[in-house]
Amino acid sequence: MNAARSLTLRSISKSYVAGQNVVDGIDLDVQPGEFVSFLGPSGSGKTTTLMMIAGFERPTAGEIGIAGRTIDAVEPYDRNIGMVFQNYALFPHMSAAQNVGFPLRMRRVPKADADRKVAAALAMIGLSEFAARKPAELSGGQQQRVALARALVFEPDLVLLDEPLGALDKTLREQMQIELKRIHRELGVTMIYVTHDQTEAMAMSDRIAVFSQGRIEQIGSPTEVYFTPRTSFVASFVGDSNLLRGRTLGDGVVDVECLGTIATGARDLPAGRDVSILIRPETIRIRPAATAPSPTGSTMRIEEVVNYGESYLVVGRKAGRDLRVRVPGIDMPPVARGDDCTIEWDAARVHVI
Amino acid sequence: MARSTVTLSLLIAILLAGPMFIVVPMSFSTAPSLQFPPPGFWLGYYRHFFSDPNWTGPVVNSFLIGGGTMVLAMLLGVPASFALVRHQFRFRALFRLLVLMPLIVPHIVMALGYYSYFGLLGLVQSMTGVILAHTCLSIPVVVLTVTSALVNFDRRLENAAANLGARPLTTFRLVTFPVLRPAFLVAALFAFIHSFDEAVIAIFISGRDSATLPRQMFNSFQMEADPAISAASSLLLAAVLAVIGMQLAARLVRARRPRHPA
Repeated sequence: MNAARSLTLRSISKSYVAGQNVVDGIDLDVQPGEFVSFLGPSGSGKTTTLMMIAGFERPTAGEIGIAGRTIDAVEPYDRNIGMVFQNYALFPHMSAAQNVGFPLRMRRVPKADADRKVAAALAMIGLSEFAARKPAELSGGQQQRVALARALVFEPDLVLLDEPLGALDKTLREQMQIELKRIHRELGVTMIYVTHDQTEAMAMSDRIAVFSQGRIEQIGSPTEVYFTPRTSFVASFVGDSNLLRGRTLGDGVVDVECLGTIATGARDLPAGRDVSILIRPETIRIRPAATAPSPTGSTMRIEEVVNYGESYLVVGRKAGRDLRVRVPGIDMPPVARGDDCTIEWDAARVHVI
Repeated sequence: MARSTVTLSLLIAILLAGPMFIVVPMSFSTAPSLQFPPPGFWLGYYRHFFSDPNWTGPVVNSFLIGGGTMVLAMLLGVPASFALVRHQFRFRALFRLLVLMPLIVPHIVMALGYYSYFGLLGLVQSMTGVILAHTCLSIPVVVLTVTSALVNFDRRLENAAANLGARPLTTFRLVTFPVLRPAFLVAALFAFIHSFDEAVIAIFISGRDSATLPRQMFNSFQMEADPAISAASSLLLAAVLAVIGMQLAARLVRARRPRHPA
């Protein structure tokens, strides 16, 4: 539909109080048509960064560019960026169609043309019959779609989404995730998606930028961020984790605090280095009855078994540390609280940080 | 609810609404002086009221002064409200206190102050003087109404408008103003009423030519107890009730509008 644009952030910083950077030197290159998520806890600077891209906040330092052109001096109303706000920010006194038509009206698009575009946008989100309704007469999910249509209808260079699904219930949220993906695929527009929900970021993004304390801790594909996090923060923030301290012994062998010496995939790390070990709970298999520990296995005493339906979470204890194991429902062996059991994993799945 | 509570609230209601039920019937009375209960039904006092320039003049004055006050109070109160809610500045708390002061200071004290102050400026006995004084009284009403609406106004709506390409003035015209319109309307109406039924300051500084309806009622009551005063009271009451009723009706219409959240 429109030519997708790239976005570049060069050492962007923002401070409200001198010496305290809310955003602290963000560098980012977003490719045309890419879907990039800003993932992080609240106060990590992800929303502030988004607001600076939209132009509502001015960076204290750094440079923002779209398609290679600096936009720092461009006012928000001239930036041609679409944005979906957290609470949708629909105009309450305008109908759904008027809301969607607003950006076209601002751009003095001829009426016939605008009407056609609004109708197409409403059709795209499946709300054609609701064109005349006011936001108050629409459900949360419908309001969300109207906000999305309004941010897309004028073919912006870039679309920013600020936790747009936060207020929806779980089923609706998953449905909207799929719909957003479809829209992104169909329009090919560059999208920046801010969220604190790691499953959402995982499900939708081409790349995830993990924010912490005003910096990007890691940026990479969902698989990279999930399985090979660069820091313990990323490991613990993205997904469920077993994060243990250890010391390398060379040739991929690590002496881990509660598991003893185990084999890992990191064969090129020199010996004698303090590291963190990440074993994702779902990469661990569980067998009833304790057997002798091996380089890719150990034993633990089961403290808690939680049934989630599609999977079980088994929390065990080993030498004073909790170990979490996630087992698909159909693979769950007959183990119970208080049992000793054997746990095993693949050395290649053990990530050393 | 306990029977005693019901009785008590009924008593209070009667006490509060009582004067209305006395004054209104009296205005339709045949009695030559104020007398309750009225001996018979007659529209003569209304005819008298509307044909006597001593009454119709003040009615016109009251509308002119109320209208002027409304316009001035809105022109000053609305920007003050925006400043108070949206901007940080030195002495903001003091500024707010000053703006709201006329609510606290007794009217009679303000009236005395205006009397001597406006005397120096040659504004006593002029319509301008009354409008200025009433504007001071009405600004707190405007500021209270508008600031409470502004505090609840979601500024992301303005961000959204800017994001979609609206310049600041367009944003105000198409988004901020329409969303706040009900609050502006209420503020304007209350500013008008506040002036329309104000008596104390009007007695002190409105002269013969600029007498307001409440002032004329007071004079009439003091001098002759003209029963047309009950017609004046009833009309004053009706005007105020009409303004408030309009507001309620508008709100009812809005609430009646169908909602179909799916």
